[in-house]
Parts: sequence; C-alpha cells; structure tokens
Amino acid sequence: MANQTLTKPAEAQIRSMIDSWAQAIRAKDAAAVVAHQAQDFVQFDFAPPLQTVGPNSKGLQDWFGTWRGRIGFEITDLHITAGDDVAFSHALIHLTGSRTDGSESDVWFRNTLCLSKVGGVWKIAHGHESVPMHMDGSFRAAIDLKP
Amino acid sequence: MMQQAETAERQIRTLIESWADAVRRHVLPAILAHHEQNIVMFDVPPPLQSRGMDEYKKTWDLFFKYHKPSQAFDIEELEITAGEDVAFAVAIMRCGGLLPEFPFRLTVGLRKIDGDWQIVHEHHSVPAED
Repeated sequence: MANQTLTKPAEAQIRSMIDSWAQAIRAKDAAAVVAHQAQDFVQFDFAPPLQTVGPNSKGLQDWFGTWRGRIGFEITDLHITAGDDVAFSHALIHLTGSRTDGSESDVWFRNTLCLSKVGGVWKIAHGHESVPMHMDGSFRAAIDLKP
Repeated sequence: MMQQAETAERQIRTLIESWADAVRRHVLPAILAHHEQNIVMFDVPPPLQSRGMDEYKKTWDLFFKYHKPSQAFDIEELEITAGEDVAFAVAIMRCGGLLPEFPFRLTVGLRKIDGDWQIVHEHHSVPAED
C-alpha cells in the first residue's frame, strides 16, 4: 500500500511532463522537446535509422520544418506505469497537419516512453515511435490504420 | 539500492533471454509465462495494438506462420533500467523467417508483482520506409 501512495504523485508528474512535451511538439519548439530528454536518450524513430543515441535537436528541427503550421499531435489511450524513479508509458498518437510539400498528414502511430527520475525531475531516457508494417509481402508501412 | 538494481537487471535479462528462446522454439506457454493479463502489445504487423493476454497470444499465432522453429529471434543489444518495482528494457533484435533476416527494435515495460517481474508492455517495430 505504501507503494500506491508513492506511485500516484509520480503518475501525475509524468502526465504533466508528457503534456508539456506534446505541447512543445505541437509548437515545433525543438529546444523544449529536447529539454525533456536525458543525456543518453535513445530514440527508435518512426522513420530510419534503426536507432539514434543522444538528443537530436537538429533532426527534430528538420522534421518540424516539413510542417506548415502547428502540428496536430493528439495523445489517446495513455497508460503510465510509475515507480519511484523508473517509469514507462504507452499511447496511440494521432498526427495531423499540412506539410510544406502541399500534402496533408493524417496518421495514427504507437508511442512508448521510458523515463528515469534525474535530480528529482522525470526525463525521457528512451522513446519508441512506430507504425505497423504490412506482412502481405509488400512490407509497406501501415499508415492507414485507425484505432 | 545499487545491489538491488543489479539483481533486478539480472533477473530481467534472464527473463527476456528465456522469452526469446521460447519464441525461437515456438513454445507458447513459455512465451506467455511472465506476462501480466493486461499486457498491451504494439507488434510489427497490424493491428495498431493488441490488448490483453488473448490478443497477445494471437500475435504469436500469426508470427509462427512466417517464422520456423530455430530461425533467428535473437537479442543483439539489450539495456535494462530497473527501479524497485518498475523497469524497462530496450533492445535491438534480429528476426528470421522472412528473407532477408531483418533487425527490429524492441521496448519492454515490466512491473514487479508479488515478488516476480512481469511484462506489461511490449513494442516491436521496424522503421517505416517511404
């Protein structure tokens, strides 16, 4: 029971950290996104490469540059599992908006965040974002799925 | 505390290695042995998510259609971060059965329940090519 009383504030802290992280993505503020990441942050991104290590502010900025206005980044089905100093969350995210090449994006993807408490603050140690892959022989990214 | 974390990391490494071994051998009960009933799985093939043990089981029925026993389901890199009762593992894996063999990413979330580590979340993926 002692654990439960400790876990609840941690969950609330993480929920508000994820809100602020998502807000930074919507506003295309790379510095604010990276501020939530740990020094040795490991990212499994939506697109290649397989993994990147360390905050990648330049990569984020380049990606933000492909969007015309604000990015639609709606988090649903967010589940947080939190201990005292280690936690993880998973969610489905609906990504929408206008791209600079004239196309419109409307994609659901999966997001997992792994967190560690560093100096009293929750930081994202690992992020994993993906869409499924069609197993019909084409190995196309399944960007047309809805929950 | 440090010693506790090392013990937890060792326990989780053993759990994930035996899970991967069970996958290679297609032994379903051993694959499911350390999973919580409300497991949420983000798998390589659709759907977006599989919720609960029944749906998690089905992801392996599908997997066994294109993977044959003893083909690769190998851990290439594995980093574990463990607290007292919550932990996560981050891995690069290699999967056989489809030509050619391909690498994929795996993230696992665990909770310690009644003294035993159990998997409550798995996220398997490959990067999306344009």
